This record gives sequence, C-alpha cells and structure tokens, in this order.
Amino acid sequence: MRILLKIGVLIAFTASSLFITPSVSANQASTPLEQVLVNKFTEAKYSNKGADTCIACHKKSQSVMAIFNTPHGDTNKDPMAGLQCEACHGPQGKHRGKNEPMLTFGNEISVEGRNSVCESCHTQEHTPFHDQACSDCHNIHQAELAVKQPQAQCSNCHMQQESAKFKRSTHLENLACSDCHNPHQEAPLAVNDTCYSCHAEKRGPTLWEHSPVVEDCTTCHNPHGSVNDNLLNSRAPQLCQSCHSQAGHPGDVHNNLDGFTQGQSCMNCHSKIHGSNHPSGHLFEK
Amino acid sequence: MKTKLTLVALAVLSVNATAANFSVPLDIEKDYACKRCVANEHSNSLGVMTEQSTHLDSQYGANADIRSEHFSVDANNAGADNGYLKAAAYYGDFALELAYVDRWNLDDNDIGAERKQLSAGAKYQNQLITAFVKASSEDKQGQRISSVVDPKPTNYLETIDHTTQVMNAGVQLHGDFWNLGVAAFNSDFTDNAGVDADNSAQQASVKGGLNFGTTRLSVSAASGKMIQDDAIEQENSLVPIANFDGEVETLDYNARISSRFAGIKLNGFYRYSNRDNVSGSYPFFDAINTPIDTSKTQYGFDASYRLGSAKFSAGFEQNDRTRNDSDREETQENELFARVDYRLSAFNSHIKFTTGERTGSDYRIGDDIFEKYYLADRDRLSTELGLGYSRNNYGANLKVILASDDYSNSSALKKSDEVLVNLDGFYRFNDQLVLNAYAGTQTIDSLELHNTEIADEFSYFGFGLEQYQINDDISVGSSYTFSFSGSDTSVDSIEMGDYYQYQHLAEVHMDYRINARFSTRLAYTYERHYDTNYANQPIESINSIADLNQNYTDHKIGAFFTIKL
Repeated sequence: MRILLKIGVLIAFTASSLFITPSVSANQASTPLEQVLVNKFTEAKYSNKGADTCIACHKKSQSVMAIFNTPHGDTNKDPMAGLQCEACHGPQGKHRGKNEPMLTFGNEISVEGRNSVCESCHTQEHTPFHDQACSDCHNIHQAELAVKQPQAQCSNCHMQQESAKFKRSTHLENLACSDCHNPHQEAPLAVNDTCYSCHAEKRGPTLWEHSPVVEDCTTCHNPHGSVNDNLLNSRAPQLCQSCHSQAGHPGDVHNNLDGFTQGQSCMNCHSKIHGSNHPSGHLFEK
Repeated sequence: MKTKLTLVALAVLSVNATAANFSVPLDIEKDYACKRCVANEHSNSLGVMTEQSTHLDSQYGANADIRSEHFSVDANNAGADNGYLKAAAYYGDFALELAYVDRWNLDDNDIGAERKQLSAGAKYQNQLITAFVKASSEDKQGQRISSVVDPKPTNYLETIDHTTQVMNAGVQLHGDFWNLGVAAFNSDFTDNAGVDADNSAQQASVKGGLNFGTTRLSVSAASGKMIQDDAIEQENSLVPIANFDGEVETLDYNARISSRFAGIKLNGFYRYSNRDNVSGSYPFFDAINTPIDTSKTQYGFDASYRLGSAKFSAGFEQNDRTRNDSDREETQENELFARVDYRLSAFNSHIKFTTGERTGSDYRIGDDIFEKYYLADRDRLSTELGLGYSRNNYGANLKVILASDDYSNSSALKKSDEVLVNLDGFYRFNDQLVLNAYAGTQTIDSLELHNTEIADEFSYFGFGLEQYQINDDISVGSSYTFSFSGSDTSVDSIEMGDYYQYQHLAEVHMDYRINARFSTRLAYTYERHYDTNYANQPIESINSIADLNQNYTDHKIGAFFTIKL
C-alpha cells in the first residue's frame, strides 16, 4: 500500500504541473538575463568585424585567447570560420560601449539554453540523460582541461564520491572517474561488467558460485572507497554475518580474539569466497 | 502539501517558463577576415624527473608534450610508477594511438599489484561513419593474502601474475538526427601462476539513437558469453569431470528516452540484464554444484520543471531481481525522490528527499535463521541538503546527507544510519594566488544480530595554495590533507579493538624558469601514515602473517626538468 501512496503523491505532483502549465511559445526565457539574450538573438545585430571586434578588448585575458589553441579556435573551421565568437556568445548588439550582456554560459542561463548552443553542432555526442550543461564539465576555451583534470568537474557535484579518495581503501588513488563512468554513454555497462573490465579473474564462471558475488559486486564492496580494507562495506566476520546466521559457527557470537576474528576472519578457512573450482570447494575452502 | 501545491500552481500560472533556444544561426553568413586570431604557438617540450624517497623506491621518468599536425606524444612520468606514455598519429580522418600505462598500488607490506598495460588503436571518422579497433594487453603482478587449512588455518602471501588481453572493434553510422552502430569485444584472461582459472568473454552489441525535436531516444542490446574450461583437480576417483565446461550467457537491453514538453523535462529508462549460467551440474563427493542464474529488470522515470529561479524534480525507479537456488528468489525495490533547486544571484541551494522500499517473494528458510541482508525487506530514507555561494573571488559549498536503512526484524542486519557533511570553499587573493580548503565527515552506524554495533567514521580536512607567483620566473604552491578512517565494532557490548588508519600528507613545490627554454620544479612531500587492525595480533589457533600494520613517515624530494624544443 505504501508504494501506491507514494506513486499517488508523485503522479499528483507531476500531473498538477502538467495541467496547470499554459501553452508556451518555442523560445521563451526562464530568467531576466535569458530574456535579454532572447531579445538580442531576435534582433541579430552581429558585428561587422567579427572576432577582431571582441579581441580588441579581450586580448588581455589569457583564458579568452586560449581558445586559439583549441579545435574551436581553428580559423579554417566553424565556429571561427563562421560567426566566430558570436556563434556561441550571441550577437554583439550594444555590448561594446554600453556593456549589454552576452551569453557567457553562467548559471544564470538555463541548462537547456546553454546546451542549445553546443547542440547546434554536437548532435551525435550529446547526452540528453544527465541534466547538466555541457559547459559545467567542458571549458572549450581550454585545450586540455577535460583531459588533464577529469576529476575536477565531477567533484563539483559529486563531493561525496570525490572525498572517498581519502579513505583507508579507495579506487580513486589511481583511477579517474572516467575510468569507470562515461557521462556521455547512453547505455552504461552493468555494474559487474564494469568491475570485470579490470578484475577479469572474478568473471568466471566458477564451479561453485557464491550467489551475491555473481549478482552484484556492490553487495560487499563500495567501489569508491571504504574505511575498511579491500573496499569492503564492513569487515569480516560482521560482513559475512549480515547474511550467514545459521546455527553453528557462522551464526555464533564472535567476540573473542580467536580464529573467527583474527587474521582473515571467516576467510581463514573460506579463502575462495569469490568462487571455487575445486571438487571439494562447495564451502569455498579450496 | 495542499498549500504548497497551490502556491506552485499560482506561480506557474503567472510565468510562462520554458527553455530559451540560442542555437547558432545558419542563415547568417559573414565573411570575417580575422587579423587578431593568431594562435599562440604550442611549445613542444621534453623533460625528465626523479623522486627520491626515504620509504619507497627511487623513481625516474620522462615527460613529453609534443604536438604537430600529424602526430602527438604525451608522456607523464613515463617509466616511473603510475606514469604513462601515449603517442598518436593523425592523417585526415584516420587516427592511430599507442599507449603504455602503469598503475602501481602496493602497500607497505608489498600487498597489492602493479598493472602494466600496452594498447594500440585505430579510428576512422567522417561525417557519416566512425569505425574503431583497439587491442590491449595488461600484465598484473603482485601479492594478495590468501589462506589454507593445513591442518590449521594458515595465512600466506599468494602470487598475482595475470595477463588480460582485450580486443574491441565497432562501426557507427550517424546522421543529423540518428545514429546506429555495432560493436564487439573479446577478452582472454590467463593466470600465469595457475591460481585462478583462465577464462574468456565475448560480447556483441548493437545500439541506435534518434533525435526528434526535443525528444531523444537511445536503445541498445548486447549478447555475450563468459567461458571457463579449466582442468578440475582430480583429488580422488569420484570426481565426475576432468574439465569444467563452464559457460554463462548474458543478454542486456537498454532503452532511454528524454523529452521536453511545455517546460517539463521528462526522462525514462528501461534496462534488462540476464545472466543465464548454462554450465553443467554434477554430483561431487560433498555436494552437487548449482549454476546460478540471475536477472535484473530496472525501469524508471523522472520529471523536472524550471520555474524562474527554482527547479522542481521528481522521479521513480523500480529495480526487480530474480536469482535461483536462493533463500529468496525474487526481490522488488522501488525508489521515489523529490528535489527542489533554488538559485538566487550568487546563492544556490537544493533539497532532495528519497524514499525506497524493498520487498520480495516468500523466504525458504527456517524460523531460526535470519534473512540475508541483501535479500531482506528494507525501508530506505534519505535527505540531502546543498547550499552554495559563489562570487568571482570567493565561494563555498556545503552538502549534508542524512540517510537510514531499516531492515525487517528477521534480517541479520537490522539497520544502518548515515550522516555525511562535505564542505569546501575557495578564496582568490589575486590572479596568481588561490586558496582552496575542504573538510568533511561521514559516520555510518549499523546494528546487526547478537547486539553487534559497528560505528564507521571517516573525517578529512585540508587546503591547497595554488601557484603563488613570486616573480616572473618563480612560483610556489602548497597543499596539506589529513584523513582518518576508523571502524569500531562491539559484539554483545564487548569492544573488539583498534581498527583505524590516518594520514598526514603535506606538499610544497617551487617552479623556477631558468630561461625561456629551460624550467625546473622542485617538490617536497611529507607523509605520516598509520594503519592498525586488531585482527593482526598473533594467536595460537591460526598462523597469521606476522605484521600487517603500517606505521611510517616518508620524506620525498622530487626534481623535474623541462626543455622547450
């Protein structure tokens, strides 16, 4: 019943938004600045000398001029072979002298508004399923930012995952986010397939399989990092006992320094916990 | 709730809100002759580096940043641990790439591994077609802890000596509104030490995409196999097979759709993943092996609506799983979220509520056995709050998450509560000096059967001082981080002992430009590392490895020398 109640609340939330939304025209702004820019795009007062007009003032900015070291700064190809700076930043209008705003890809412009510029050319690479502006991650004025600092942009939103690099065990010491995640990929690999791409020895199949191992590696491991060794969600024997409570040693109280808590704990005997190929390995001991 | 919806309704009725369209116009032709568009010449450079450490092996490596119209070379500490060398050649729509990447991850007791990967790839891309082929071979060598019962449990360091060879190839056709592609991969794993069974895997996939106005659709399907056919140890005459004819067939479907309609952005997805283990089942002396089949069906949708400075989002996700030979063969999970983002000038914030529930089929266990935690009924609740303030010269972000998982009374794991706080900020003193600072803490408290309480704690703080330019030729930078990871376990009110790790890591460096062609960097790194685990104490009943604790102080000096060509 609870799920029905939750779905009902959600449908009410969504439906109320749908029903009360008036019909809208194709190009309307959601912020005052966006409205100013929509007006400028409608007026389409492009400069007479293109980038030369812009550079006359902005040449002192290294971050602006850096575009000429990037593919977007190639004067033989668009945008620099076309409308140049104004292709992305919009028509100059009264920017010069009266400082009329240009499209600067700041947060004052909606994600859709910012992305509409990039999507003019980059239709194939577009990823529609991550509600982010392209410019949140890509600074096209800098040639190597995305390559050299693949973590930097992800951590702006994913602080929790980023901070895991300081944990006792972590994948982030030697790996970048993009080694496992592709934000442009529209059909990501299943979790275990991603893990197998580096841990092929766990792929199997093995003669004796451990059910949670073949179902989902994250049942026991946190891939970003953990306060426990080996990226484990908790240490043994507690990790094992969160499933194995049968009478006998798996379910006993283990509160002494003995063979169940010392060394490798349960794995002192059940060392082939990811699966065994031994004829007598059904308890993952061989 | 009623009041809130009414307010939202009034606000929506008063504002027409949808996305603005700033597409690059195609109907405006300008013939600009740009005189000032002069690209800065890229400076090709070569360099060498060395790091001398009081604790680790000395490192020597090469650096390179060479680019021309038809080739590029990028080396970063190549030859040293965690270094790489990448070379690429371009000719028209053709590109070739060679790469060598080292990933080193060994602890103070030489436990861990070093991976050395060599890869080669070719790519052809034009307006209509993209085709690629890539091959890689990775050697992984090191040690891991294993154990054998002989006759009492004996821990030992086991050799890791793996080779994995992968081949990928694919072709994609793309138009303005569509794309269609096929790809295949083959992977062969070999354990040169003969510990893990060799295996191989293949997968073929097809994917397509369609853009229709503001609606985008992508679909994909993949079919694969995982094969393992190693010899089975003939421990006695009752072993029924000589080789394990193991094979798993996998099938995956994905579909995603995204659309904008009347100011609302809608996303939906469907994902199906099936693992069919078609290996044989044989009567061994102790038991009969049962190949495990699993399937996962996920689907969900979410909607977001932007209203002036606010954005409202809500979504639903269903995650159903089946597995055979299990205490519970079917589980169903659902999750709902609602989120509001609000931005006002330099201030931004969001709040997100998530609630989830897991149920499933009947259990096939006795009354005296507790349910496995990953199969048990579970209620999940999470609240996330984010606050940010950002100006040109300073800014700060705060994120707080409160989450709880409550399992059914008959689960072996009863509950798990999490509190997480992340804080970061920056201050730009001037164009040459930026201070970044960050801190955070996370606690996870869990309760398990036998009144077992587990308290995980993670804390960190630090700062970075970026590139203080003393003069035209000298700049300095510095950073410091402290981190602490700990987990305290008490079983039936008895504390089990220390299990924590901490690290101080401080670094200072100076860049010195000797002249227009030669520059150098000197760096000093201090590391204080401590890691202790109560399970490392020697006891009579097992032969454990002597000392797995880590306790060291490292001083490292690095020197880097770069020449512009």
